[in-house]
Amino acid sequence: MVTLDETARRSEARRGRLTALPATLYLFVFFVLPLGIIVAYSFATRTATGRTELSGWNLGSYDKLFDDLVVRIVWRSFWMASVTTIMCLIVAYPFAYYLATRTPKIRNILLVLVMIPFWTNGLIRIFAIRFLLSSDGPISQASESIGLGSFRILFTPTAVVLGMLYSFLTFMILPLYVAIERMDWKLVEAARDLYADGGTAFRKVTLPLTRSGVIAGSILVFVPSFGSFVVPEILGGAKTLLLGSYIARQFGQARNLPFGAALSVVLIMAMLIAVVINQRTEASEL
Amino acid sequence: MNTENDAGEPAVRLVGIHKSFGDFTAVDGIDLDIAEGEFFSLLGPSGCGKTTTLRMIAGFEFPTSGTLSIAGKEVGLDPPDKRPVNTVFQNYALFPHMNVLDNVMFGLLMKKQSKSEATAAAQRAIELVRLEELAKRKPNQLSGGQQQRVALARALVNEPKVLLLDEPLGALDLKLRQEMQNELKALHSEVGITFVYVTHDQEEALTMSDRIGVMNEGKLLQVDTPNQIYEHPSKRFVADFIGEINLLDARVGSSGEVKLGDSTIRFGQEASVVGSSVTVAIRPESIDLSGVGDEVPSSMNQIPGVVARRVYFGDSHSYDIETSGGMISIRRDNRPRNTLFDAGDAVTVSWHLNAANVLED
Repeated sequence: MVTLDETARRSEARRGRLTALPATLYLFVFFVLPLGIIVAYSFATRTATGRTELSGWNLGSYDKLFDDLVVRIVWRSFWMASVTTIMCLIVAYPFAYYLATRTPKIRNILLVLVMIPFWTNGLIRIFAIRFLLSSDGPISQASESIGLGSFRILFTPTAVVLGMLYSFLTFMILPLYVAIERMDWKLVEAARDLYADGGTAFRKVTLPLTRSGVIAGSILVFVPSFGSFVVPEILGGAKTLLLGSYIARQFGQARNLPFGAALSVVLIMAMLIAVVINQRTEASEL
Repeated sequence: MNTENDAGEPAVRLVGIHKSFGDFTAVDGIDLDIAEGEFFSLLGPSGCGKTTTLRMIAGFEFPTSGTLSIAGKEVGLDPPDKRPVNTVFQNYALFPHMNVLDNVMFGLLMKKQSKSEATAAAQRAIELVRLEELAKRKPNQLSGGQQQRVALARALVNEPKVLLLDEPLGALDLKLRQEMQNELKALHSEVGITFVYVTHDQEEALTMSDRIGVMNEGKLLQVDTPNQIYEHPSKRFVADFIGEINLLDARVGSSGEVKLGDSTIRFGQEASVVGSSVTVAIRPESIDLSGVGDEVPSSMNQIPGVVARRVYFGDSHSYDIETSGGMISIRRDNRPRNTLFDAGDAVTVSWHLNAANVLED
């Protein structure tokens, strides 16, 4: 016999499945399925004419990942993503600290100011940067007029890092702000009370206690930087070929779909690892 | 430089201390000396300025005006890390990312003690509060009482001139609170450090302190021993805030005698009677009750009344007595020899001449 509470539980579960149905369908069709196709393609064969044959499954595309050129591109992407992350951290931490220690009213105004660029079309923002940095742009003109000579930075790795810094800064500020804001300031007082000067109290208490924000922000910046496509395409030159563009090239001009798929799988794996690390550290803090 | 710290200097001296936050005056002119080795409590309702006063001694806030000295040395704008005081915070403020030992060692390491010295001293402090077994635990693995002890050890290990305690027992349940009260008191006599204790709990203040300062609305109303504070409050607020008390309006007659209703009452000590009306304060347990016509000693004031109500409290009975001077509450121990009176009985209300006080507002 089915008890009353069991019936209630079942109808509850049915309702739950129903509410999640649209999202489940959408994610299955537009996320799980394509992801499966990518994974499958990464084991497929590329014929001499550039067609992809879904037969003769092999690890050839993964072997190719160890080619010198590929290793260089991955390393360069990794390095530039790291520099971007560190730059974001250096810029965002003091600002988030400032933000979190204001009165609620000022805090809200500043938060909106932080969000405004975030709501603006990313492409427009990157083209604005390109204009600013170009050799006949305002920065260059200003530097020329005061006798410092023209300013050649566009199409260099520096330009790409600057662009990514600008694009992803919000992702760093927000988690840091949350972490600093929810920190118990009494703990900083306790450190000061126990003879730590301001700097030491920051190093020994504030920084360790806002670690979750640092890690979350770093992942949120590092992951899109690592696979970044738009920014290096617009601001980078031929010498700054990065992973994102390289993958796009495999699916486009090079017509090597299996290899592009293998690169994508590696990128996805790297991001998954980062996310898992993030969740582990968050869990260990509770 | 030793002469500065000679005996006789108070551990803490506040002279004309004011503190405002914008338009709000938190502390309104406090003068206070706290003696070395004393257990001093600042008692008052929330928002009375007691915590702000403590925070100024600690160095978390700076006075708007006035001077503050610790062990004979003016501290001025010294930050907390430059003051010979340590604080036990209300919710302990233990560092969640450090274990018990590291928490306790923190201050010593900041004072540039060697790691081995600091470890040894921290272990002794942890023993002092009986937490040896838990030295490797993180704060969130400890009970409230244990965290409390860590906070004490973390402060005391630095051997401060003054230990500041900000409602340290507020977060504990009643039973544990009473236990910790005894422990704190024992610890105080063991370490001989000056304690400045902030609380809104009158019982805590009465049972633990050498002296109590009662505060309200930023002012220090009375500074005295617990006994004096309870038995001889000088201000209406102090009398009302601490314990139960009868506050009776009395008139002052032409020759200076005090009339409570139809009866003239006398006082033991010189009571300063100014103006035409005064407030007379008497504790319910200081008042006796007897039948009409019973013998009452001449050292007692007596006025007639009628029982309005009697409430049973187990260990005592509480009576409300209607008199010509107003309603008087009486608390009487529940002893077999005490006659019980019922509502409507005519009685004589009496109290010793020394039991009543005349209050300023």
